[in-house]
Amino acid sequence: MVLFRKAGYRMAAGLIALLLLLPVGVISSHAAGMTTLTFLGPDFDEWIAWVAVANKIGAGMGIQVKPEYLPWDDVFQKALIDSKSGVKTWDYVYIYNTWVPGLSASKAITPIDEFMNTPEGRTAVQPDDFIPESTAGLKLNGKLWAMPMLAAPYMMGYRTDLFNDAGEKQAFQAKYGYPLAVPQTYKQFMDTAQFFTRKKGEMLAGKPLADDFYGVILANKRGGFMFHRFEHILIAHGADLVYNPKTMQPTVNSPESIAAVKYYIQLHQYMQPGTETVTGGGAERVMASGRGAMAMDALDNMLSVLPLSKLSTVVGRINYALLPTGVPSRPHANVGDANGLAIYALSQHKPEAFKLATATLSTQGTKEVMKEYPALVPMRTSVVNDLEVRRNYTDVFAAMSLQIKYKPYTVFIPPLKEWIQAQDIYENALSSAMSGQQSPEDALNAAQAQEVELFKRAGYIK
Amino acid sequence: MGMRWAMLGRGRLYFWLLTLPAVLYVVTWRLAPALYTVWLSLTQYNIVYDNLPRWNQFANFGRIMHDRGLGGSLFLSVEFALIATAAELVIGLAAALFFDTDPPGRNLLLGIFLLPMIMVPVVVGTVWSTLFDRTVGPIPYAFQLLHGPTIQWLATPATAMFALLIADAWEWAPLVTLLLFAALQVIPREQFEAARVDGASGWQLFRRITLPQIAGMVLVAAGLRMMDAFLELDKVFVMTGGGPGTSTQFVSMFVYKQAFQFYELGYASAVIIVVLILLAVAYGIYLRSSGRAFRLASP
Repeated sequence: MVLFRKAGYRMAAGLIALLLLLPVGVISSHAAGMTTLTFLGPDFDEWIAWVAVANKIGAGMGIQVKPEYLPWDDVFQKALIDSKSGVKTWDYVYIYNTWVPGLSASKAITPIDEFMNTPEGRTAVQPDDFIPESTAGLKLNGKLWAMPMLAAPYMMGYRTDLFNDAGEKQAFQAKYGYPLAVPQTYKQFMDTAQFFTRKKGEMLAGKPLADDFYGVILANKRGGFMFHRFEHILIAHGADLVYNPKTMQPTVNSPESIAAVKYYIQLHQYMQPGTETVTGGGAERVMASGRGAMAMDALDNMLSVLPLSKLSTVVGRINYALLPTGVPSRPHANVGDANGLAIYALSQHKPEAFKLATATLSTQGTKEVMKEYPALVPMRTSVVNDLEVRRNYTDVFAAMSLQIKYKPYTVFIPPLKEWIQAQDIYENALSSAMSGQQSPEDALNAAQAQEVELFKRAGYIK
Repeated sequence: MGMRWAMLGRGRLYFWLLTLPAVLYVVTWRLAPALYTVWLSLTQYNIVYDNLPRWNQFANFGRIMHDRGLGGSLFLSVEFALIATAAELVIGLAAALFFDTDPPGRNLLLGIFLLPMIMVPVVVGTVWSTLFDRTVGPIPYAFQLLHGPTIQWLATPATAMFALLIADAWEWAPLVTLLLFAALQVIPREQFEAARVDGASGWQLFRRITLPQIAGMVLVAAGLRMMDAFLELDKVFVMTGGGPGTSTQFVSMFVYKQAFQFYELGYASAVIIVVLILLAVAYGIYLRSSGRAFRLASP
């Protein structure tokens, strides 16, 4: 009896162990056949969506993607330091257009052009399908440094219910002498922002306001957000982006630049209070709470909040338009943003990484990512014009159609290695002028002196 | 104690074996990085664009002499440190005296009072940033309810600095309280009783008995807080980002920007060395004067 029980226990233990080990064995054998690619990127919804799609598509190729998410600006530092240290962990790196000069100069990433030497490679990438105004930022010295994934054109979001309200239209016409419409010029933009800025208790579209209401919602937090919103107005006024690229001379205190700063200070009166402390997401939350008439932001920022019923009280009441025009030679001027997927230079699986990247960011792949993340702004013309996209993503289609049709004047941040410092100097001056610490002229004159010193130290000017 | 090195004999081997881990730690994690920083301060090194640091003699230090931004940051850091320390000493002393009266529920109250001190500084910054937020913050809302002025707390230079001071005092006054409360417990009660019998008022008790005996701990607390406040970064980073303009760009924020936004490691290292020298001089003066104060305070 004892022997049997002993044997019985042994058999039971063996059976349990077998049952426990069997899945592990299956998983191991399954994993053994898979190539794992590691992705270094920010914890943003669009990249989480991309990883999900990459794993779905990659399953059929024997590839899986393992993400490592870091705060946005830490991704650049991590990629840079790891590549300099010879770390071979990564296969993919998220890239933002202003990072291209730095990561390419430090040889942290491999240009996509290197994979397009064959007809198959070129066919996989389909470079002619990219919307040039959105992808130019990922190009440097004639090479494409990342697979374009998410465009972030800056556009205007506006409340259609307010712009179509008969009472508001009548009042606007009476006050300004022209019809209320989507602003086409920055003068109209200022008038509209002024018109719609109202205090709690005042009337808006026939109803008394429960809270203060603001003409324009903007994110002006120091650390790049402020300058990133202002720079569109800067170039719309005919100014350079900090310096003249032909002469390499800083032009921070040019008449156009001073005019742009003065405009922004005036517009500041009609922005939501606390604009200096919010980032893009924070600003869109204010717009989504129904407290602004217009917003000026990256399209994907707006799309990720304003149409979502769980986040927004203005669902179905927002349309998107190109930014207004300042000087006529720069219609709807804006500074472009582009986000892409780069292949890490020290990757041990470059062919697999290229194969999966082109598959997931092809026309069909991008549509799959859009199903996971509907706010994705695609960078392929074929995706924007796709019937399914036109039907299911009307906001994206409408907005990107404007970009394709009207070809707004678009510039990208220059590939200057001192750009962050140059931008910081300008942003300090802008912040100083906006807070009343200095007059615009004094602030920009001081900034100009610092920029000249920076450019001299860098050897661009004598 | 009192054993001479020569008398240790074979014990010297054990001495080295036992101290080796600590020595290795100090050399690896303290001395080596410090020496590397000194080396970097003498080089041009942008970690993005330069493959290796390039010796540039003392160009970084020459640049420091002309950098008005750095001068401004140093001034702001000193200003912040002085005001924050003064405020924390006053609040901390008041709270310590209150807790010394042994009010009902003292232990619970003291525990709650000390909580901010153990919070992560970034969380403290985030909390106060939200409190001061013009759109959703309760402080502007309270001002509005009381028909007070409309203040853009974090958007104007004067109020941004004030907001940082309030946040810092909220976080660190409890530390001062803790130190001074401990010092108060050591004062013999009989001295107070005897003084009261002689007709001393509350203020006289404080000035003639309490203050002299806690003067040493006040200096310790002041020294600790001054050094810490001078190097404040977390709350500034979260609440103001150094703005508006450069009105709250303290020296730590300045160094952070140089090193981690502009990637100028050489220049950032030079600034760190200069700040270190300034702090060492200031600390030396503090130790001398506090030593004198300790001697004067002793019976």
